[in-house]
Amino acid sequence: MILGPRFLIEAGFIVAVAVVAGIESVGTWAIIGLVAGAWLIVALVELAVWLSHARKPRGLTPQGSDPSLSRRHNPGMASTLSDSQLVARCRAGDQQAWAELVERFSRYVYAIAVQAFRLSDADAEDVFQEVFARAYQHLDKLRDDAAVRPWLAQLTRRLCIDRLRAASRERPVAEEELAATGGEETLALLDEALTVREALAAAPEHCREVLDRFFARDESYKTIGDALDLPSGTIASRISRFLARLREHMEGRKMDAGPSGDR
Amino acid sequence: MTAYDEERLAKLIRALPPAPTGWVRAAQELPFARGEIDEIVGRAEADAAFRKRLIADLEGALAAEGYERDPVVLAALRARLTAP
Repeated sequence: MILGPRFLIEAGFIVAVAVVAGIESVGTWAIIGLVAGAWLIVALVELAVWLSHARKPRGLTPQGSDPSLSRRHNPGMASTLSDSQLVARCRAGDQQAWAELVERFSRYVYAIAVQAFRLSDADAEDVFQEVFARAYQHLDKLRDDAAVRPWLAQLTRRLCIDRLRAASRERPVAEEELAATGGEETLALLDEALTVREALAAAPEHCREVLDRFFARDESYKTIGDALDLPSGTIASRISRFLARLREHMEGRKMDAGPSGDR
Repeated sequence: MTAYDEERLAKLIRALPPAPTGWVRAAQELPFARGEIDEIVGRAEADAAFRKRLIADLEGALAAEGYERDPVVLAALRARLTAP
């Protein structure tokens, strides 16, 4: 337990009671009684504080602000935590870590449902929510925290297949149509795309933002320029430069923070 | 041409567009819906008829009991009720 300001106030209170008791020239037993009474009050305060913490809901309880997760509200951003660190924090009941985990894998799960299995929006939404609901419920059962990515991918694929099978019972679907979905090639592409995305997460924010807005969000130069307060005429050259840096990084070279004047 | 030329990188970045914001927020709020989910599961465990209705028609059974349609709660309940 950390001895914080509350401890100092309480200790000061006991000392003050003892001093006052001494000034009043009361007997030894009266002083002992007063100090013991003061200590009892302090103990009751501590007990009340402890009980208020103990009553907080179990499971994913807030853990206060954590600088390493402070970027969770940044769209399309991932913190610097590894997958296994993130899972460990989720398991310890960190709500911010859970939000980060959802953010980190949301595109991947969504893309598997929509691109690989070609689910409708309504079905994809159901699958998306169910994947994270199951992940939330069964996170304790994950044997290797670092394996959260293939675990989520497998879960998503299984739920997509269940959804297609259920739909085919209502509306007969040709076997070829079912076979065409969930293509290994698309799944492999999405897996690789997530790897690139992880590399992008390590890039400077302005670099990541420009590439994400242009390619993943399909925004125009003007929209990007307006949003990032940059001349739209410079967007194309920045995209080219940032792609080149990302390429260097993917090829094993370290992506540096970028030359001054980029932003 | 390398494995990661600019064209391929562009294709890979493009392959992961953002999921709809509402979906992501809903999944992130899962911890906050836990109380309601636990309550419904608790009722289902105590009341076999209610559990049967939930499994047969989750949305209908919840609506009949006055619960609002919340995709987070529905997904979590599906996961819980169908868990082995």
